[in-house]
Amino acid sequence: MFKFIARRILQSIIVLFVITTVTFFMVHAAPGDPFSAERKMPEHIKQRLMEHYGLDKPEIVQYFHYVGSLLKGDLGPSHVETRSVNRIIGTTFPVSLELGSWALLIALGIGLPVGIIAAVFRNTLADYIPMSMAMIGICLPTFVLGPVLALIFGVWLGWFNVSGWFIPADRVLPALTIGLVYAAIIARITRGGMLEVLNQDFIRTAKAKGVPFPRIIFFHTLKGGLLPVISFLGPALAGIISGSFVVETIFQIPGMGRQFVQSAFNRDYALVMGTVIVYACLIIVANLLVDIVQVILNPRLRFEDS
Amino acid sequence: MNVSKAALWRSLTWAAVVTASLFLSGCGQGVPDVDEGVERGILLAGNGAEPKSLDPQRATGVTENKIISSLIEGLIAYHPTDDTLPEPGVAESWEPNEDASVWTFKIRDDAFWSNGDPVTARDFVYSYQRMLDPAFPGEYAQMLYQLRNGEAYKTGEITEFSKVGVSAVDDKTLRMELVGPTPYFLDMLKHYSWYPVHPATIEAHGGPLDLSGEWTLPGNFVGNGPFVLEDWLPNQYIRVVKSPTYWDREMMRLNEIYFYSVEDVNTEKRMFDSGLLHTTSTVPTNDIPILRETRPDIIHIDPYLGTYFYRLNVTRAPLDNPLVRKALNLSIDRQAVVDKVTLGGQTPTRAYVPAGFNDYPTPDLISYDPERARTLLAEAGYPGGEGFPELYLLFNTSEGHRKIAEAVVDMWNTNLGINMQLENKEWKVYLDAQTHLDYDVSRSGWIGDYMDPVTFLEMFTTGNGNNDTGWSDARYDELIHKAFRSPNQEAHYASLLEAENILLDELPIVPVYWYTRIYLQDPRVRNWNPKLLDNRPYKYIYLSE
Repeated sequence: MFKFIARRILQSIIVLFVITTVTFFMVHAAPGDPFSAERKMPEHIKQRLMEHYGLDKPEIVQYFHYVGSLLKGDLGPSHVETRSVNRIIGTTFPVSLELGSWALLIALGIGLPVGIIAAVFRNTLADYIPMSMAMIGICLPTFVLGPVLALIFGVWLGWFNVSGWFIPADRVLPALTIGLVYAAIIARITRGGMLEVLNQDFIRTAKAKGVPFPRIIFFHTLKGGLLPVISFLGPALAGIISGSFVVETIFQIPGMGRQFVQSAFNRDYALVMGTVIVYACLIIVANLLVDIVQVILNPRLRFEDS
Repeated sequence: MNVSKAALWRSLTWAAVVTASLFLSGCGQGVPDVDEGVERGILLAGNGAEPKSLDPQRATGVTENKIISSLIEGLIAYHPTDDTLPEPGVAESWEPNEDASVWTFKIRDDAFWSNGDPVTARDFVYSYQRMLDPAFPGEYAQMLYQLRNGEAYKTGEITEFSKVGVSAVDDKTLRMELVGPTPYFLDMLKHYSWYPVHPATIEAHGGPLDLSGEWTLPGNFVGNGPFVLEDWLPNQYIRVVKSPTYWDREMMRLNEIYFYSVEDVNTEKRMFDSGLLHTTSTVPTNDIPILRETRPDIIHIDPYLGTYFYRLNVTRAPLDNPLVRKALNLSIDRQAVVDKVTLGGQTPTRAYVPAGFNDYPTPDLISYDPERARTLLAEAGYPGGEGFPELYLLFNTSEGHRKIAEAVVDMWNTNLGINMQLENKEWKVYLDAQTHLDYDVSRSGWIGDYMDPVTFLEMFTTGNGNNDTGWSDARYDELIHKAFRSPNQEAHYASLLEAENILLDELPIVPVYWYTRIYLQDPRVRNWNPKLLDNRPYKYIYLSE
């Protein structure tokens, strides 16, 4: 197990290095620069800004300089905003993390029970109705669901603020918007995973031996049935926590997803790099966690590893 | 079986409890709503994109301007009703010399910074020296080139700031010598590039050349305006509260302003609908006709000092031929564009410079005449569009620009029998293409900085960074140069008018419409008047039933 984790961490460092390098040169290769605007600034002023941010030097020099300060934990100043990249990520990442956690809770809290019930009551209304709704949920994009929720619960009913991130209740609508979509996917994956296990021989054996049905579901089936959900959770976890540019924009949430997209539009090189690196770390860590959990849950994998 | 059902109920109950507890803990909104705002004198304003900088000498955008003008006051302030009139700000009186090339300002005795320091003439000298420092990247430094030797100091030709035309005669008297007669100088002074900054604050946060912007953060910011900076929550709101040291605080009825950063127009509309905003920065285009019909009491459409136009790349055939450019200009039905596409009460252009400058006689040079357009195109060698190469109309990715471009291109193709195509590019790629003249026709817009037509016309002089058409005309350059040095308004306008006539005869650009500002506003907002520059003197605004 330890060897497995150590190997994965080593791989991750290489992956991170490659991502950093590729992103750096790609973002610098994009047309335009952080200071271009409809009303152009005078050339000597632009020159002065380029010097200030070190953008007048050859790209390879900039790259080594960037990696140097990155190793010291300094993501540099934003080229566009007043605050530094460390500070921007420091304030926006916790927001995205909190929103993502609520969304994940909703996704699992709804998706798992619905999926399990659908599998247990296969081919009955308790299967058809939730699964059809899940299909709709998967197809419904967040940019439709978000405004609809805001319109109904914010504007019409007045239960929640339509936007903002000021009080606990402000978490509800955006978390639902992200969470419901993932809940739908999780419900379908859970159902599939459960059904596959329910059809296996050892379940029939258990039934034949007279094990009570609830025990079969919760002790025998669930462990194997949830494996596909867990492998889905790796990328999903990163996707949920990294928030969503769309949901953050609809609900005016000061999260990192907006910084990520805006920085790319603004050619704010340092902020693009910072957000990409944080996201990369997030995805790597999420996948690592999922792999570890899978090894724990699935003895077959443990055997292969040794 | 029973256990599964029980589990289902358990999870349902659990979900309900979580939701309910969240909901209950959320009683109250965390921010004031419009009714509370009216009661407590708090204006809630949607302000568009997140401001990039609150340093008046580095900011460039409209959203920044709105906030900065509540925090800092210049010599001349915004007039509550008429943009063409000067309103005394920090200066209680002023006097130009005979040809308006030397101005003396008397700074009021009761003008104080928010930390209690008096505002002095030396603060202005310090500020202008910072702006004109060759190493300081203030984008609007060019505004200060109006000061004698301002440009020479900025470019390093001279190194002694004492030679620049600004000096403190004493603590309360500021004298400015300009490059020449500038009858519209007071209008220029309303622009935030002329605002003062607090020297001690700048020095305490890295000095005049520090670009970190630390001094503009809450807790550090020292201004001299009607409000002081209280909170800056990035991507949420900026909150300013009434300044305890502002000289005219007695007459102010607003206690606070929330400037919400809301980029999404639909989100802003929902905020307004649910009572979180008194005023929005814009209105979703699709809602405009409906709201004009159903809620004329809340939708406002004010004239705005801006022109929407298309740049023509005159370095490329066949656009290098003035006849072709004239044909394109004559074959746009501008009335149809504003009536059927933009829907916001915009005015079809009659010229390039928007109408509304005091006494500037806007010429009437643009018309819709497809017949004549076809004749001109035939004269240029493309009868019925025959042999006319395929051209592209470039615009930055946006639904609004696309709709207008589709309409205009269709008019051109139908009226002239040519083949124009649409080409959209992401914002920075589009800017890059425009700068490098890598386009045929390009969507453009321009908003005036101050109340003088020169802010529209100067950009098409030879070599100007914002020309971007490849067009150059010696006589035009000469007229603009002359306008900058006219001894009086009549001569100034005469030069500009002649220049505009040349521009619209040569047509490196094809104007389409003059902007309007469209926004929603709670009827309880008072003293908010239509302003051509959309400048808001917040100290005069109040809320009442």
